[in-house]
Amino acid sequence: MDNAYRSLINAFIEECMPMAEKLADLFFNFERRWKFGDPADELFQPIKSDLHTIKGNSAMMGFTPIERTAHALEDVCALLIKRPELRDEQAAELLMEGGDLLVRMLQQAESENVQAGPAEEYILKLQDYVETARERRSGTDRRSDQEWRSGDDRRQGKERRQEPAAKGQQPAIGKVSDTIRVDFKRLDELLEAVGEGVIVQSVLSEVHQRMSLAFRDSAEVDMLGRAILSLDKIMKRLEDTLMDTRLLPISTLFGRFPRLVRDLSRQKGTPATLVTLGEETRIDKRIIDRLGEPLLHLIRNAFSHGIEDQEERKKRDKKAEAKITLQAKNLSDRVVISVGDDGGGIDVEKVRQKAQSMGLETTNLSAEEVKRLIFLPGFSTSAEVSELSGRGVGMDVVAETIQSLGGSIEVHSEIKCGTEFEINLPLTLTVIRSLLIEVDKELYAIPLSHVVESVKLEEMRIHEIKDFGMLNWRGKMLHVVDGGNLLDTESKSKKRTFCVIVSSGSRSKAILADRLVSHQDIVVKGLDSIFADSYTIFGATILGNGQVVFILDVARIIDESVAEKKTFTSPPVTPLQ
Amino acid sequence: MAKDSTVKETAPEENLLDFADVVNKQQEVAEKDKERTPELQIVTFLLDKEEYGITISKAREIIKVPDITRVPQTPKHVRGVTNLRGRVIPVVELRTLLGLQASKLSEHSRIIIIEIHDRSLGILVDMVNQVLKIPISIITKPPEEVVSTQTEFISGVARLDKRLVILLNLDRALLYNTDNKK
Repeated sequence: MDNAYRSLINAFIEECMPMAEKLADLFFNFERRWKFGDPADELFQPIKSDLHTIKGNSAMMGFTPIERTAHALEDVCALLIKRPELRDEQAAELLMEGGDLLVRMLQQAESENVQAGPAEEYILKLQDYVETARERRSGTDRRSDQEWRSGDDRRQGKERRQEPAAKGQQPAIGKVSDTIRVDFKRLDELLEAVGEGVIVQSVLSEVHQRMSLAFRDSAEVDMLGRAILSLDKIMKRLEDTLMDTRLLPISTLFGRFPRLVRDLSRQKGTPATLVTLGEETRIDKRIIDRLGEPLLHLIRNAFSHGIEDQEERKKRDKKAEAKITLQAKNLSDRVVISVGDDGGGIDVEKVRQKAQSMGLETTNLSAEEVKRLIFLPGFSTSAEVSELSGRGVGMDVVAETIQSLGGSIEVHSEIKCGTEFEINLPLTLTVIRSLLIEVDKELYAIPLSHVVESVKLEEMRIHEIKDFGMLNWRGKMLHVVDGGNLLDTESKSKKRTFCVIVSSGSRSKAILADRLVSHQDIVVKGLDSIFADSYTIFGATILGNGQVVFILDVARIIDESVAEKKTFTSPPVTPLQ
Repeated sequence: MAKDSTVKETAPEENLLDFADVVNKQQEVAEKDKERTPELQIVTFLLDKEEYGITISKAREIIKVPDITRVPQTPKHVRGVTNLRGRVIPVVELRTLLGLQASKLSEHSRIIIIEIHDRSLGILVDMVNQVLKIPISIITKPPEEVVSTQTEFISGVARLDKRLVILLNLDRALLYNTDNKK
């Protein structure tokens, strides 16, 4: 019982406190704007509705002083709306005092000890003000007397307002936000709940859609539609706020590396410094947790494969001290993290030789494609496995980790100048915009961040070279893969209608589908490890109708297509020990 | 029934909807014997006419077969996934795992949701039979005639009157799924 009441109070404060703070802020706005003769009409509407809510809620909770204060403020606002000529600094100050009072009383409400005294005093003042204003209008000659009184009150109010601030009780404006520590699991639970809310919401919209077909011109259906629309907004806000709560600055991760670089630099006898940029970039904690290993590996690699020895650096006119750069930056809803060194770069010929010694056919591969081979399992160009980069994990594990986070990794390298790995990650792991497609009566979702374009096939011609489909898309030849083949569907249709161009990093590919269903926000649900072999999907989602739909892993699908090319026999590599 | 005695040592309480009553009854019956020998509480089910059992502590609930979505590139013994109250749960075709023909769904088909090592999985069975308490003493090594191919998933056989219940080691069976891949 007690607990239930407590949680009611908390809910009450949580709802009303932001409103009271906003009110105080808006009243402050009045002061500035009225001073310059700006009536600020548009502010009254939100003020009225917030006051109304606070009044209603506090009446329900039995906090009479709050209720009465809100009520009195409503009266004053009503008066000010009717009579713009009253809008002056004095009125604004009176309102500001009320805003602060509301905040203070809400703070007291937390300990269930709302003091009625100040409220009553303030209410009297408001009543006085209203009365004076009315009298002024009716032109009685007590006017000057009244003005004097309210002027005096105003001064008192000012004093009272300064007092609590001096005692460290914050006035409403500039309130220091409190922080609390929360178990991250809670946030996951919340997120899951929001996710389910999103699903229910899509059920609702579907029901509404059907109803609006069945009952045209029904006021109730329209009402439902509007309610769903505002639910949409609320869910979006809830989701955004929650997502934001989960983000941590990447400095928590980057902070681990200066020491590592120093140690490695001593171990190897290569002077090196680490430059970190964009440490304030924020990213989902779950991603940060899993990013440590890959970054560690890339930095180790820079030492063991990238940075040349002193002699070589001298020859190339480089500074003795090597530079390793760790940078993070935001790119719309993604975060790009790059790890770069100013070392020797990737020797394409060496990689090619290595690939051939592993039984790979590389003659048809471009230099860029050859560089990507380092992400294959068992690939290491270093003659002996060194202590530095060894440790049993390879670039394949790095790439795999990044992909499992819904990201991609690219390598840029210039011989003799350096190497840069660019990791492109989603900001958050969980809710993504996606395109739903249908392939042989099965639905799949493609993250919109990977979709470049979707086109009707009749406008495009697919060239077949041997058993390999190519599409000329904006002057670029793209590998075409049939959705049915890709996803092992049971009854494959011969004729597809649509083609979705997808990309990951700088590489693209075309997937053939039967139908484009819709754009949708989907909640990503992880898959059990039993599906580790399903390289075409990285997660699942549940649609409004309860149907499970898989999300395509575009990065891996594109990689796989590289491997599918005739130059590779599948499976392409057996790991070397 | 010994009404004055209280239940002291029973298997962890499980929320098995369909079988709560049966369990209670079984517990009462078993109370008499509990001094004599340690017991194992199992759920039994049918697969291709044979009766199998798993320990009840692994089973979370038993559900009718909902829509199952096929998953591309999965091993044969994974039938697909299903939506269990907003969670995506893999459904394992136990028959395939045991070297039997894949099942045709019937009105008796059920999915037993099990939980091992923080994972939730559904196993598809032809029919759920009952919840039993068996004394550990009646469990023997699997005889050869029962065990054809997939011995490793079978932890033992319990002989009850005329019945023969094959006990499965799900941990092994399901770890096998993931380890065998690499």
